[in-house]
Amino acid sequence: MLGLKIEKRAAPLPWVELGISGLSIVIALLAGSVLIWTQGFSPLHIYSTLFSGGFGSFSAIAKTLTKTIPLLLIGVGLALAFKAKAWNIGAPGQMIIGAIAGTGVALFLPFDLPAPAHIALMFIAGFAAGAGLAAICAFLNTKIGLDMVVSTLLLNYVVLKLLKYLIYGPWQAPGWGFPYTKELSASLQLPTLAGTRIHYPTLIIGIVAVLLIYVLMRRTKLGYEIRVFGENPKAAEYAGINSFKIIILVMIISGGLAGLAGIGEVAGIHHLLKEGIDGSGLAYVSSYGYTAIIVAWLGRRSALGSALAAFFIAGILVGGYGVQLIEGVPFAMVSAILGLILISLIGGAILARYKFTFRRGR
Amino acid sequence: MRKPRMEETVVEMKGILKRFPGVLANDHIDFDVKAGEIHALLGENGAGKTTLMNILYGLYKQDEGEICIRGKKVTIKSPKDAIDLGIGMVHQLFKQVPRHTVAANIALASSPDFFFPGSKAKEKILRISEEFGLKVDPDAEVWQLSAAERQKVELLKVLCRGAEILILDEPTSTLTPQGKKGLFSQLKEMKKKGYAIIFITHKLDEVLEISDRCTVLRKGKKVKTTPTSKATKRFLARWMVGREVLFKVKKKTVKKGKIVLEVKKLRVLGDRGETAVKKVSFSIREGEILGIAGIGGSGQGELIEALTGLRKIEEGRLILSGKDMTKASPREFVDAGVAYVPEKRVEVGLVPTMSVKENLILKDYRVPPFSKRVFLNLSAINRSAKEKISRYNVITPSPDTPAGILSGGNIQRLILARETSGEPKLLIVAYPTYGLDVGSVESVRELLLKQRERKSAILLISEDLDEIMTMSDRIAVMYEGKIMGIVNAGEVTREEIGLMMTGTPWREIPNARA
Repeated sequence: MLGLKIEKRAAPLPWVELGISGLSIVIALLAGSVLIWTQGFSPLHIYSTLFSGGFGSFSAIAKTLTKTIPLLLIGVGLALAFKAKAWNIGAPGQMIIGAIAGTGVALFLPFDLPAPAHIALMFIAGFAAGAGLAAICAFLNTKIGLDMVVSTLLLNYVVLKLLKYLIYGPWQAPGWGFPYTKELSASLQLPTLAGTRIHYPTLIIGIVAVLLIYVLMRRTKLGYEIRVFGENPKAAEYAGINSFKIIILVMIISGGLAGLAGIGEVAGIHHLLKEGIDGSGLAYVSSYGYTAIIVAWLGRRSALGSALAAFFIAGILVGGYGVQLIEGVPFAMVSAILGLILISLIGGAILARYKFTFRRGR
Repeated sequence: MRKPRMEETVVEMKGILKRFPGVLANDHIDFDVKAGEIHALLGENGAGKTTLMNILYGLYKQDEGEICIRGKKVTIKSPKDAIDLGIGMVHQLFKQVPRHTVAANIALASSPDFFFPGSKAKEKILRISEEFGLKVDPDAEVWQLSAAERQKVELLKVLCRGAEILILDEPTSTLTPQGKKGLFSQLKEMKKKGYAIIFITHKLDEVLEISDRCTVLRKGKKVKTTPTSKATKRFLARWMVGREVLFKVKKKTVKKGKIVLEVKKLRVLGDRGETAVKKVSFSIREGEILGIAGIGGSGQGELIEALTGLRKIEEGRLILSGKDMTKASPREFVDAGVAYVPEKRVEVGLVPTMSVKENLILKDYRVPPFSKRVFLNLSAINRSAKEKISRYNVITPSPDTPAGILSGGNIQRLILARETSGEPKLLIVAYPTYGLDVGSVESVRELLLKQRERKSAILLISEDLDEIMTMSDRIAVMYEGKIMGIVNAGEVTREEIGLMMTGTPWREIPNARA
């Protein structure tokens, strides 16, 4: 008889960590190809169309980079939160509340400011709103033990309703009755790289955020505390680390970055506030706030890893639109593949904690 | 199943041997139980009692030896086999579903049917509880019950499955004195009806009160089986703790300095809200080792957590070098120079997934040279890690290796390197050599003595009496949260410590030089 022996590992091996990300993508693509095949398409052909649509040309890369911006900002924030085991599922809400606050500052500021200062204030408001929303959940979690997954998730719906109320109600642009606010004045719209929709000021903020979080995690006392707390809360308590401070801080940072992504989409792409500014415009496409969860996991909860993952996932999203347009494969297929990646990643992360050995038993 | 006659030997275990990595848990143990008998199994933690019973209950398989049940040789592969043979085990921690009723909990354990047996199960429960005087309301939900009632449920569970051989693992540990009295009368009732009862304990009073025979185990070996009528407390204590020749350590005389830690009438709660530490007072001076002896779970764990800020102090005062620290946080204890080597090294004392060098700064990452303002000083961390690894002889592939993959002895040296290199004022060490190999045991003990010579005050908690007796300057013995006595290490015998560990206060021990 062949026996399987399963033991818990004290620490996963480093190469296993890296391998999980790669293997998860492979597993998801293989499982996805079965889905594609059952729909009567050739998986190989679809995948090559998908990847060339996402990464195959200058214009493809430009589109991918545009979508990378929000995924990067949110993903790197979630990576930090997840590192501290603060399960923030509320990035969609934090993104929208950031967009609302930033738009409010853009449209209704009661005094005049020079455009650069006005834009800066919009982004500060976006960060503060996202951070504040996340901080509420962190506070309730540390003070009364309210589960953070539940509170952050449910607030997403509350914020979505608030957005609808505003754009169908008091903030609606006068005229044709579309559920939009009026457009931001031209001076407040972000510049883009020539011929693309890459609103580079937000991209630069994103890259700076990645570098800051990288330094925070690797080089600072706070980063050390976050890692100790996330890996072993009991050891953190033993070392005298204040868990309240850690949870509040990582939630403020991750919520704030989601808020920046929100106002970035408004000021850089849409130039007005409407439904779908969080990327959930088309059917079957979920908000950037949810997709960024996959980004953070695929990047192994590290800053640089999440940056690469954001670019990769953005490419799949862009390529997915192309596949739908050219080949008629429903976009739901892309969502399914992204979901499969996440399942493989989380499953892989759990399996990596165990050691499997086969032996011949009696 | 045939009803056994009274006095018939129903369980016979012969030459049982069980090895775990690094330990011989059971070394050729012979053990038997008769119908209509309560047989106490006595020994310190780690003596092999639970291992032996887990073998009988099919949780472990013995490496050598055989088991006969009612005269027939059997192989018990799993608890299911044991249950089919009429063996039932009542665990120390109850395995019940708190939100379900008593009847549902019992039926869950005993019904072979797929569908849930409603009224039939209730009838059976009522009948059996009537028979043994185990009165519990079958419709009550388990979370509403007291510990004594939950224990009754556990007994009913076993009886409803038709067990005639009962194993009770430290059944009184969660009970009040009244609950204990009730349990004992129920056990006597069962005994009269021909049940065979194995009673695992380390409380001498209970052995003398309830058992017909008792078997004493020590360090995996059987010391003696005797009719309880022929045993005295003093003999039992001696058998339990032994009289071995103590190993020698080179312990220099160190002149004691000022008082470092003083605790006054400390009261601390345990995890279940019970009072775990009762009016405990003691003090430790510079250059002194105070050993705390006691059976595991006597309140030592809660006491040291209170002394490091990890557990709230309900009453009493804690004074460290003249400063009141009764309400201080863990960080304030760290800053005040209290180092702590916890019992759960990997779960509490280590971040297994982080590197050796990162684990070495767990307590002092906030201070120079390891950090400046917000930033860590990576080169200082690297340098200090290399130095500590070689000075404390931590064997690791590199300072960047995840600490969790090191061996037990190296993990303990890593923790000691971290805790003692800062020259602590007070060093609290819990079970410092538990589970380590011989070489590591020696190196750890030498390290502790070096700290003593450096004039650190040391609080040593250990279940190993040899360790307590050779390392300590003074010894405090805890039993059920209270201190039974504090004595100079040179003026006490193992037997006297054994008596205190099992509930006799120092002043009540005859010939005590109190």
